[in-house]
Amino acid sequence: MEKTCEDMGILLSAYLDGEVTEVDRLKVEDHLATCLTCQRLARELDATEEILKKAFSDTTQPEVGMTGMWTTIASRVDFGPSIWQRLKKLIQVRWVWMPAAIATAAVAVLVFLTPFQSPERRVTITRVESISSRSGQVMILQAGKTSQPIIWILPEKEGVG
Amino acid sequence: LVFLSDEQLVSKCQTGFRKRHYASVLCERHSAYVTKFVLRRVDDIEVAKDIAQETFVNAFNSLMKPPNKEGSFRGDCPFKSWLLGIAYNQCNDHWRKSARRHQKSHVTIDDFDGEVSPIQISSEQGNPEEKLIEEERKAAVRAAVAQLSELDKTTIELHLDGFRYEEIAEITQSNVNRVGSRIFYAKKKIRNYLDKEGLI
Repeated sequence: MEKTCEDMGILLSAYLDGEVTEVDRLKVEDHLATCLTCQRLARELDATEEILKKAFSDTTQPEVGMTGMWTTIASRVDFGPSIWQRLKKLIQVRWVWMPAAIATAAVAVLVFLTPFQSPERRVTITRVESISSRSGQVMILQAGKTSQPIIWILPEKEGVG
Repeated sequence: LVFLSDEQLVSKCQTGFRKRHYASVLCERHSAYVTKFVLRRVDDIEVAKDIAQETFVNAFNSLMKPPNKEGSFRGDCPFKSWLLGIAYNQCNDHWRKSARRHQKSHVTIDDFDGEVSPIQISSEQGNPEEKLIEEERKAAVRAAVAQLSELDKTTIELHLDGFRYEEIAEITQSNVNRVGSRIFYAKKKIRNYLDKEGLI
């Protein structure tokens, strides 16, 4: 059913505001092409919109004291606990912080002591000078890289044959 | 944080670690417009500031609620529209409590006697006569809009501020068709008034 001019008013207004569907846009344009009354109404609505925009264009935004306003707002909103408050609450639970504290202390001790421990010195055996087996022990005389003589005394069963 | 959209800020406000901080950014971004929106309804800057403040308190308390709870922000409309919806309800509450509402609700555009406040014209700006006519028309238009019903006035003002019909429907808790109808009839009333006054 074809819309009458009376029904067309609201649709025409929405059309001028860019608020119609594609189907309605085509309907309005078809109607406007032949209806002089609606062409006149469209011009009037357009002009009224312009007048309204002009009249409201120079209304300035009020000055708002944000600092005071925000302080009041923030004090009345429940934002939940902050990170610090959450940590504090966690620390108050003994079964969480006791083992955590012990573990932290143990790690700290390890970290501090490690640099003071002398590393294990490895000796490169270059050659065996002599083997003497008297009194059930094996004696090995060895010259290391530094040419310092090293004497090993081992039980006979572990000695090198 | 200026590069973050409202939706991103809202999301951070709901789930982030610095909720308070993100909320303050949202407040700073919208406080001037919300106050202006309220001021058009209450005509008193101090009352407008109080209502705007109350709007933000309600909005942020709702944001802190889980999304499925009643009154919480569901994110199905822009944050600004949702905020203005709260402001609009706050204004209605204000009028319900105030005796001024009674006074206002009984005046319509048809009762308007055409008297507007005196206009200050500076002779330095263009032709004073043209300027006077222009200023007269502006004052008459503003006065005509002010005499519309609260709902029509809110609808036309939001429309002039660039809100889409759908957003206006969200703010005024109406539907898109009714918004379209209100805008059309409000424009017709204003045009008829200006025509009668010989201003167009």
